[in-house]
Amino acid sequence: MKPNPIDDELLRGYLLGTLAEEEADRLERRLLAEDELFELSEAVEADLLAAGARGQLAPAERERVLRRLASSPQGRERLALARALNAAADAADATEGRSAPVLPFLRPVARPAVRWTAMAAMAAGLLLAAGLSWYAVERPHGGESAALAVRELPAPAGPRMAPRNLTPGAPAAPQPLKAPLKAPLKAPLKAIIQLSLTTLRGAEATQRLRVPAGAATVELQIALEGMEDLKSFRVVVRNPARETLLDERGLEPRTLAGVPTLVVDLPADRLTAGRYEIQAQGAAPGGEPEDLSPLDVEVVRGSEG
Amino acid sequence: MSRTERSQGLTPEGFDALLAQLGPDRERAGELYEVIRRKLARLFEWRGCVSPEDLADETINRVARRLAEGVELRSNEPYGYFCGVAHLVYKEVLRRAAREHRAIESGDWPSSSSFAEEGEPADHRLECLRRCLGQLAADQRDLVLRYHQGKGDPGESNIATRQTLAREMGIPMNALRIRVHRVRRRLESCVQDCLSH
Repeated sequence: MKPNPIDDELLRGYLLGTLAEEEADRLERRLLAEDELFELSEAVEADLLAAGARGQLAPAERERVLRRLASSPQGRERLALARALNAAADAADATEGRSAPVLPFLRPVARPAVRWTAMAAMAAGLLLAAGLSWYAVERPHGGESAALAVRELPAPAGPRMAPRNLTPGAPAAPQPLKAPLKAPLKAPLKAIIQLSLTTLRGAEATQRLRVPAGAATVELQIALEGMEDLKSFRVVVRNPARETLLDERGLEPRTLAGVPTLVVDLPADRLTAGRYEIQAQGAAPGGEPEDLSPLDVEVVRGSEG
Repeated sequence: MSRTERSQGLTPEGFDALLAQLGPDRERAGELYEVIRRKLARLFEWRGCVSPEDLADETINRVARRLAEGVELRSNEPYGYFCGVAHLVYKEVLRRAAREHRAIESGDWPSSSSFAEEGEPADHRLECLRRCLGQLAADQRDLVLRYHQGKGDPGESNIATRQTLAREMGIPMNALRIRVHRVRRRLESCVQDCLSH
């Protein structure tokens, strides 16, 4: 059974200990049986802790919150998290403004030389292999991020990989170019964009990914340095509307210029400007899937930005 | 008390009987067992108990013993039995506390000034939170931070901000709460992990 709109008030009363015992008993049976109601109860609890930490509760309510919700070690941990989140949110509010995208707390991380060496080798290999006329390098914002590197390479026309596992209603295949490009390249174009995943601890900020005007397909090449033990991957790409654009499982890395790399194709016309999320999981043989850092990319079309 | 010590009351026969009652697929039953245990611990926590996990284990042990003795759970509502036993355990806690002159209302709870006493969050925790926030997707980070932004006046509620957020996202308030909570749960786990290192 889904929670109904009055459940949050009921839950608030329960958490504050103001429900009659019989009503609390009934609610607890529901909480055990209904996962969504239970989740809502945890959410209301967190709201109460955050409100208490902000001094937004009446004294009697604050007292009840402390006695009932912050009496155990786990409860005190949650209270501490609520307090820290309040502080972080205020800091972000003060520095970013409410309507601006919030990108607080970037951790300055020294760029690991090995990554750039490997990426450079990979790029060089690709340039040689493809005989490309140009490439561009987007530097991470402010130069503070080492988690992800983006390069854009138009590839010559050639056999195109069909996009896989696209959501229903998606175009079955990339559309041919409608207009000639300025560069004397024969359409269709495949833009090659290189990204690198790190493990969860290394995730960094949003990066910009430029889709060249006229590209029909975007090939994402996701480098997997340091993850040689992982042999099977799942990659999910979500568009700015949080719709799943691609969900591909069982991907196996290829070796490009000596670097294990995941390769997935996306139709360029589905990459409208905006923020995309690329999530990946990798699994070692016989092991559990491991979450890798989600990549946050901002797609810019043509000559924008 | 360690998890192993707490679990000593759970005999193999009792555990088998419990899993058998929770479902024919032992693996699925094991998952359900973990869910019930976690939920029971939270219920005890919400009742203000200081050792919720111990009490959840005690509840499960008693249920398992009864099942090993031949009691059967009602298949349409297996949770009712757990709830009934949990209430008995809780009442025993209250009676014990009363006997020891440590009634719940005057127990060793944090004082009412605890919200203020701890003041600013410890630097290390905040640093961990910053790192963990940095690992979230930008929209999730934005969501959780906007949700927790307060007004200048500490007495004011930030409900209006949250209503605006829910409207912007086109979802009801409870859906927003749950969505934020899921992000917060990831943060909680990440921060714990960070603090333990």
